[in-house]
Amino acid sequence: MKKQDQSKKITGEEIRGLVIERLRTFPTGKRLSIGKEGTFTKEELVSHVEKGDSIGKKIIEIQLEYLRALGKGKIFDE
Amino acid sequence: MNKSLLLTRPNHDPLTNYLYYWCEKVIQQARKSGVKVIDLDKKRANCKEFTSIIRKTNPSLVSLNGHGDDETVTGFNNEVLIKARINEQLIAGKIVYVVACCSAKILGPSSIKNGTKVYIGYDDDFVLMYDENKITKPLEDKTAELFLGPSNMVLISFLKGNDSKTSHLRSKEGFKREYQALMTTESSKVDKEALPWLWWDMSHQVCLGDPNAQI
Repeated sequence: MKKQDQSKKITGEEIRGLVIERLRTFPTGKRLSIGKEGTFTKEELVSHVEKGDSIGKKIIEIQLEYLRALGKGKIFDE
Repeated sequence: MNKSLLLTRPNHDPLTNYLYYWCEKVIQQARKSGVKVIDLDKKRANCKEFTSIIRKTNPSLVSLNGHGDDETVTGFNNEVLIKARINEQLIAGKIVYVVACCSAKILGPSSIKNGTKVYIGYDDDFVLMYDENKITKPLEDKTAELFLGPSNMVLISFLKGNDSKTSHLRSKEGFKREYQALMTTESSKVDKEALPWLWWDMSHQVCLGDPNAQI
């Protein structure tokens, strides 16, 4: 039973929730420019992730890539 | 081939405006290094002028700043300057650094096949975090500096006489120094929020072509 719990995969919804929580600490007064998609405030970043549109998916991809690198210790090694 | 630097730097939206201003640092280094600067700024970053000037001046180093996608790099008001399989021969024989989204995915490899000496760019979106209170003074924006300082290192390193492999690595090391400094307990929480975005840009900068090429 325990083994089964450990192998349980995180759902897309859980990932989205995790990224939204991380974005809530995005500083007020800063903006993020994502190529030609435009520039976004914290609230707009959160909104795109909530909607699950292409910008939201890109934000999730960026955050997950960073978290994976952090988990593997790549950020300190490279 | 002239030892010269051709830049395109439109300024029609916040991202391009930041790139426009931060290119000043590269221009200063070019002048210091005795490299002639050909500056297609603002509205001059259009296809007609770019095509004419690059043919006429045959610069050794080309810096394209703007938007892009897998196959294109654009100038003022997102007018296409270079497109894979259409006019990439314009950059044949040259060392090129492109700050735009995704162009190293298809345009980069395609241009190398067609004779571009070196293509350094990004194989996914280029992201930039900046301070909205500094939008009229981009060079004073310490948040943007975290991204654009290391990005500029590619060109500054070429202008100092280094080869493409070194210039690419200098830039990556610059990104690395910034994010490692942000990870220390002394840096502010606000700055730490730049980490994922900074990591993304560093990870997606690629160097294609001859690793030993110099301007």
